[in-house]
Amino acid sequence: MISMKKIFFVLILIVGFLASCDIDSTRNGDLDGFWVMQRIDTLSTGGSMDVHARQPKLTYSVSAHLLQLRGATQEILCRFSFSGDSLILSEPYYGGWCQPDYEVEDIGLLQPYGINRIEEHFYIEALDGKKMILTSKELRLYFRKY
Amino acid sequence: MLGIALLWLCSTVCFAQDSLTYHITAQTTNSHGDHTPLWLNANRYGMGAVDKNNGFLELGVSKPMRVDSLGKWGVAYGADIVGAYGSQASFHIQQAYVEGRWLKGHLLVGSKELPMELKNNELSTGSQTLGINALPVPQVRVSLPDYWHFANGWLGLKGHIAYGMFTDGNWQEDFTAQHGRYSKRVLYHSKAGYLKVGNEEKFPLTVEMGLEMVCLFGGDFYALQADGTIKKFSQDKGLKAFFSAFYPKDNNAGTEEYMDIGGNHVGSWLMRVNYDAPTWRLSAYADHFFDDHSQMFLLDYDGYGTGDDWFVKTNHRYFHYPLKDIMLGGELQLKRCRWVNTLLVEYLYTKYQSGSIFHDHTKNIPDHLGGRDDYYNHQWGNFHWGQVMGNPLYMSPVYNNDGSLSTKDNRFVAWHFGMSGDPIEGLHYRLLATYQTGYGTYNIPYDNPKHSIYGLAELSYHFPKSGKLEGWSVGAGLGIDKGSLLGNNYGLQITIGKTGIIHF
Repeated sequence: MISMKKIFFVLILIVGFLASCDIDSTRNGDLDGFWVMQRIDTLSTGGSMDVHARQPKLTYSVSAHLLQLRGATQEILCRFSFSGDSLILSEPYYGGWCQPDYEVEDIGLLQPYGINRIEEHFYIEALDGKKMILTSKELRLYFRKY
Repeated sequence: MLGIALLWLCSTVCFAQDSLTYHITAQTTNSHGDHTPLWLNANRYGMGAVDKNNGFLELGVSKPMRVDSLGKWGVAYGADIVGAYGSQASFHIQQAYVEGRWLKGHLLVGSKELPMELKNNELSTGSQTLGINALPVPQVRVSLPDYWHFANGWLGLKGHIAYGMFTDGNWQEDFTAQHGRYSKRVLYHSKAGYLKVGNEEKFPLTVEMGLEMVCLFGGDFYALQADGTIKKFSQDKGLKAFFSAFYPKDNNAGTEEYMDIGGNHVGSWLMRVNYDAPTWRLSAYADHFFDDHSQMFLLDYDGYGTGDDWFVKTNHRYFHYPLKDIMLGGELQLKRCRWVNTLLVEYLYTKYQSGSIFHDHTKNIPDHLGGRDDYYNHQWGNFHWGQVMGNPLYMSPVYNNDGSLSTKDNRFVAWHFGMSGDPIEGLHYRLLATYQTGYGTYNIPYDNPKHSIYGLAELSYHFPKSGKLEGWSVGAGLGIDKGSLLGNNYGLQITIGKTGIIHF
């Protein structure tokens, strides 16, 4: 028969572990998840390019404090800040699994993803659990959540 | 040595026995469309086939364990051989085993059809780890197959530990035509433990909890190189690998710095709550699948430093993954209603997989995120003879037209309904209906989400005992798939069977 003393001791250990640890979880709301780019509009010309059927797909993945770009050139990881109708991407690095990461200096690595500067500011035109529309100075990007 | 001992024991007992049970089953399936409908193929221990027109003749003999149920020890054995057309193999051994029992413990040597735990084997879509969809794996297995009750019957324990080997290496080589990666002689380990709390004889509410784990390890990989040659990569098959399969630990399968767990470990946390009333029984259950520790514990260490401290654990910081991927089910048994004696509903969500980012800490980005779990697709995959070993709603590699051995749809949402009954003596039916929306995988998502409906209506009739057709049974099943995941298919399956006793 397990005594109350032992049960209490185990509970204290669990509470102690939880109290001594910093447990983080994702707090990005609807932004969190796997976004597949569907279309890119060029604002100055009104031109539009459908990219949803290309392989590999252009994707923005959002989880915790990272935003990952995949599908063209290199896989790129960025930091981001997200509030209300603003999404700012910064500090892009490229690399791969079990590889070191390198700071992105060539904008050409970012342009296939609709990003034209190292620190890109997007206006969030729409964001819910299914679709996202981001607008920069030059482009409007349409995403569908998978 | 254990197998030889059991065979000797079996032969001794055989000559002391005067009867064996035999069964003969003939089945033919004819379909229109791209494939045999899903529910005419799946969850049949690998006996099903996806080719539109297929069939088999199965001959089996067995001595079940229940014959020796009163003694302290017992022996069971059985063998089923199958000749088939339109299948992955034209001839195969479906089962061949010897099983010994001492009190409540069992030792199994060979391959045997083993049912799912904590789920309805006839109506459920399937367990995500230890399912009944694929051909049994030959193994040596020590188990407590039934609950061992203690604490005045209020607690019960059962479980198993097993090691075995896959037999589909040649099939993989043929299927890929050596154009993609395949493996041979893959080793198999499974273990499970189940705890039951409650005593139905004293109180109708019981709770069952379990953990199932499978590890695929060892074996030889064959990969196509840029110059067109096939290169073989041999994996560790020694004692250390067997131990690592049982107790997952770093096995240097990654790089010098990023130590990886040896083998491909998958598993499920299970729970089932039952309320057993006099005329009905209601159960609710859950099956949470994991392909690594991020979903096993919903927690990942995330406290590495930056710069020169990038490989130093500088903080007690952890990242918590929300519980999103899960199977939830409900089952109602009506004990006094012949027409409908079981109703079942299931919901299955597999899209999250710890998120869409996998990043192992680096000098400039210390974050550790264990996402993109890519269920059923790690290393050796999670299939045997082309059929997934867990839940068949994960698309089996046998459906692939490009010869690849990957599960191409492992991110999906599904609703499932099942019903069965025995309207008159000897007549049994079951109905299944499933709606699935598939998104592909994180690595290769579909252009658009794909939707499919799968249905099954099945009847079987066992002729009455002491009649002229005693031991005979007939069955018919109508299956239908409609949608873009497996295509539009419909098919008819006819089964004739005979069971009996061989006296000698």
